[in-house]
Amino acid sequence: MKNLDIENLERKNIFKTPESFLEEMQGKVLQKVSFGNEFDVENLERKNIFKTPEGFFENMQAKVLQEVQPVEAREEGRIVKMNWVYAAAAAITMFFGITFFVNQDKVADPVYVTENVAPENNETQPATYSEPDSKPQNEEMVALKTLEEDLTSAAPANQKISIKPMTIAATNVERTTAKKKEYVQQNPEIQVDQVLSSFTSAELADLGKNVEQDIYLDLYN
Amino acid sequence: MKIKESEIIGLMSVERTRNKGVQLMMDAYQSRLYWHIRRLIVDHDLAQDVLQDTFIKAYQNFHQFKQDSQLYTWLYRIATNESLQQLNKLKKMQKTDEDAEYYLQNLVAENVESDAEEIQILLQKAIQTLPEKQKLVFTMRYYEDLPYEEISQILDMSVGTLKTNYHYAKQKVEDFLKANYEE
Repeated sequence: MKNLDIENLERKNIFKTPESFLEEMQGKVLQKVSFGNEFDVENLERKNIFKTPEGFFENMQAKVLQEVQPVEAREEGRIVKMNWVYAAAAAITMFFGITFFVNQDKVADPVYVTENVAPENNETQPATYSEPDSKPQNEEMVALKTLEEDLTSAAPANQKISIKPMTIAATNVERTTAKKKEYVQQNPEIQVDQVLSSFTSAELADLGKNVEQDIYLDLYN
Repeated sequence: MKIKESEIIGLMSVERTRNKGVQLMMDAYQSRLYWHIRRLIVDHDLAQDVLQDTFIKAYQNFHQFKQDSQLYTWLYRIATNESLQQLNKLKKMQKTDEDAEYYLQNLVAENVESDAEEIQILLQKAIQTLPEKQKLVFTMRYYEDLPYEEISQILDMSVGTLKTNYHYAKQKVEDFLKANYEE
């Protein structure tokens, strides 16, 4: 300690001081000065003196992001929803489309009949049927024959011949229509049976020769 | 701040990065905006709600932001409008303007830190006695030191009117302090 020179010591403040005491002192001085004759609010320190809970900014940010996020999620949700709507619309369209085509086959016969009814008003071709389908023609021929028999038995003697075909045609068409409707409502298997029964066994044998073997049908048999 | 503002605008302009943009926007302006709102409506919970709504509205209506003004000016505008709406609601709940003033002054007393100086508490109470426009101009100029030109953009008022309002507001505040301060 002989060589101790205080000049070599570090200059240090070792006394305890309360935090921000200098700021408080300034405030007090300004306060005293301000409330003189020339009080000026500009000389006051700008302070936020309101209480604030800790971490509220994080809380607020989380809420904002939560509010903002669902907007995007909702957008996505809406897209998904729209897809379902489109899917539902497509399904409904398909359903009605299929129903329409299935029914069209059923409706085809009545349309066919009404088309044939059209000549009803045409006196020049009252009972001419030129449909390619042989079965209705057969039925119609049978119906025509029956009707002719009825008419010959029930018609008055002075009846004009010109009226006869037209009456026959009209009545025939009505009957045919009735039969057609009945035919439409029948079970397809019964229809097939009816068609098959109209062929002779020889004709069926001929048809059988011309038809190619269905291997898938064999597989399932 | 300038670079950060353009960065935020860039992020907010693209839908993919908008969330990041709003996050940066909050980080940059939440404190300033919060204190602006808080000085106007005093209550913390209400101020937090208003701040939250301000950012949500900024996010949702960002397409309306014209980039010829500064982003924080636009945010201040939203925050101010939201705060005024809240103040009007509060006033409607009170019978008279005096009742509303009294209510806000009581709210100041309830909301200050326990160690707050009396002169500072009185100053906040004095601000609550100011008419709406004077209150806005005074707080934005006195606390936030915003230039009159920017306050003019935020409040849609001429610089001359703002200066006049500030002058009257300051006088009123000083009169209130002189009348109520006990040394």
